[in-house]
Amino acid sequence: MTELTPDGPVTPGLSEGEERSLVPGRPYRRILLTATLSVSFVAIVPLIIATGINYLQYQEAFREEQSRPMVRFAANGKLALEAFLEERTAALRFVSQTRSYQELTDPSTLGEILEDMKSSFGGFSDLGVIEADGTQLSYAGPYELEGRDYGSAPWFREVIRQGIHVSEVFLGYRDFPHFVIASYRETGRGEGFVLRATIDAEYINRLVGSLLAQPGGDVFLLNHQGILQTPSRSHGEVLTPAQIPSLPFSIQTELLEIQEPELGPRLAAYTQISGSPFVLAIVSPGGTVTPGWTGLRRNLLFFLFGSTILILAVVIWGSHWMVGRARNADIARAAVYHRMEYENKMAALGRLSAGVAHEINNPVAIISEKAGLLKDLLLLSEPLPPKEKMLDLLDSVVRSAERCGGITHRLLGFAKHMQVQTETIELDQLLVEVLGFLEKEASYREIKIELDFPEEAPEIVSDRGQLQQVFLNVINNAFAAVDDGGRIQIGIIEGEPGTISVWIQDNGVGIPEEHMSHIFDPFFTTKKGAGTGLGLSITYGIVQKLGGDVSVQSQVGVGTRFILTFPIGKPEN
Amino acid sequence: MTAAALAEGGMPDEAREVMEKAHELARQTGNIEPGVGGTLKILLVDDEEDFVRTMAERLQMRDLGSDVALNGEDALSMLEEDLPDVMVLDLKMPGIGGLEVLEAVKSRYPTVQVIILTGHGSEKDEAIALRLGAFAYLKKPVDIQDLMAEVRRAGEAPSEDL
Repeated sequence: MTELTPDGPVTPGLSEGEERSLVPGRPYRRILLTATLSVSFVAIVPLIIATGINYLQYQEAFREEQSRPMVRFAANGKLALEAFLEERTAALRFVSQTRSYQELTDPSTLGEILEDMKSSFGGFSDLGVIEADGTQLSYAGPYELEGRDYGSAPWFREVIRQGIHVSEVFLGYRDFPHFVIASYRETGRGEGFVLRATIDAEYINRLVGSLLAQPGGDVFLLNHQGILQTPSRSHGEVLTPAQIPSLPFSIQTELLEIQEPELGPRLAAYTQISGSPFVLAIVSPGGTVTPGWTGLRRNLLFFLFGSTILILAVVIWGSHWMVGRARNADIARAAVYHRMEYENKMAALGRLSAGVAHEINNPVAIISEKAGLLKDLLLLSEPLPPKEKMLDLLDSVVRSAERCGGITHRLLGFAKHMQVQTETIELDQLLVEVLGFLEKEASYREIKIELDFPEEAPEIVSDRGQLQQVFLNVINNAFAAVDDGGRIQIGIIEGEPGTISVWIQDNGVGIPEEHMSHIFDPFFTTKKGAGTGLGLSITYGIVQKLGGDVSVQSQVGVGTRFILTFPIGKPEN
Repeated sequence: MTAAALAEGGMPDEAREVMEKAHELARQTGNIEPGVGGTLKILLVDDEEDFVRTMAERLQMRDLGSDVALNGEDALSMLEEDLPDVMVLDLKMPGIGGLEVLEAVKSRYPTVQVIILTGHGSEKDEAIALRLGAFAYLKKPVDIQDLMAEVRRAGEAPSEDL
């Protein structure tokens, strides 16, 4: 057998290179990557979403918990301030409505009224009556403000318009922060006077400061332009712009998360003090995030991180395991296929060898007879036989020896191509070579073989040995299908661009329709006991490997046509 | 012992003498005389013409006259005209194969002894041939002495036994 494989041993196992070529790494790496990414994605994304929703809900709950006292503080502060202003406004209006113009313009009476108001309500620092033209007629208080003109003061114009007015905090003539409450009393058509009381800013400062229940926070009044009306702890001096974002006007209490320069995020509550230009602002003492929330958030993140790591580890391990198994299964299958292919080849070679041995016997028998006759003539006839007779016999011996040589060369040619290699092949010549093996059988069984080859020899780049095996398998099947005296036609046609097709048609028994879908299955055979069921399955495998395709048309009782299509160029594989 | 006799592979002396005598006689008369095998009629059937003609010639030189048929059909039609004593039959032939011819001969002409001489036969073929009534089964290439021995044995064998 070694003589038949001059290019090296042919083994049923897989060499390392073959294993690599059969099982390339790249598709497995791609499968691994795809599997890992997709499984990780579907596992981790819902986890992240669920954790995110949880996070937001917890955060909302914590914020709610934190904002509730702020809202309460703001509401309490609002009530206290509104009550303070309401009392003083009502007192002033009461004085302005019940006392006569004469009483009020009398400085001593005005002084008494001021003392009454100071003792009853507190917070008042002076009182004055101003004419409709803005001139202060009378004044009671610590400053010398009689005769001053308030015609152009903003609060004065407002009180004429509205009847009652609480001003913003300002410095005024006395150069000290204060605000005024003023009430306009109309005495006749277009005539009247304004009663004005000044509230010491210090008084309201104390009131606002007393709202500060928690240490570390900040409470102050703003006007609608964001100017501080009372001093603040950490948001600026009185009558300077507050270092806090101002809020659009709103009747309700508004909560805002603000960023403090050094302290970080804080909650701020804003509420409008009705009947005044003031906005009460309360800044929370602690951060927006309580320690409980920080811990919970840390736990949540830890849970998310830990779960993700665990999922990734399981997914990566699982993907590796599965792809590894798939790869091993593929290797095992490739090895089995390789072995099957090898055995089919060896079986074909065995059949051929037996046929060849028998075929060689004929010329050997002739040589034996011719040589025997020559010997007979030399021994038994006197005189020696004529020279021509002896030469004729020797020529016959030489011819028969050449015939033997031809047969052995054909077999060697077949065996030599067991190694995989591509070369330029003339398909018609290859088919004629393959048919050489079957010539004798065809002649014994009187099977007509008709060839329909185009004149231009079609060349393809492919593997000669594999093609030989494919054609031998298919033509052998045709031989098995036809009766003695049957007909087999073989033709070559150019198919789609870049391909060439060989068709092999017989007028044999045909393939029943129910077998059609199984003919390429391994181990499917109808030759009970005689076939391995591997021939067509291996043929199909080889043709696929060469980048080609096989199709079959068959009708029971009419015949079968196999069409084998191959790429002309170098197969990709 | 002559060199020729040595080359013949130790043929018994009497046989050689008888043969030489017979050949002398044949040369003198220019006729083919019945040889040592008696008046056996032999039919050789083989599709390799070169082979079968040469063999016929060699048998002739040993005074065994034979007819030649190149395929099964010819052989069967020749049998209709004249029955040989012994038939030497190849198995693989175009058209009617050797086993079919054997079967036909044995059913129609049971007296004809058939010796199978083939280059293709397997053990299975041999078993079938013997079961079908072949007298002997020989493989190509065959020693002419062996063939003659079988032919003579077949010629002497009583056909009733078969």
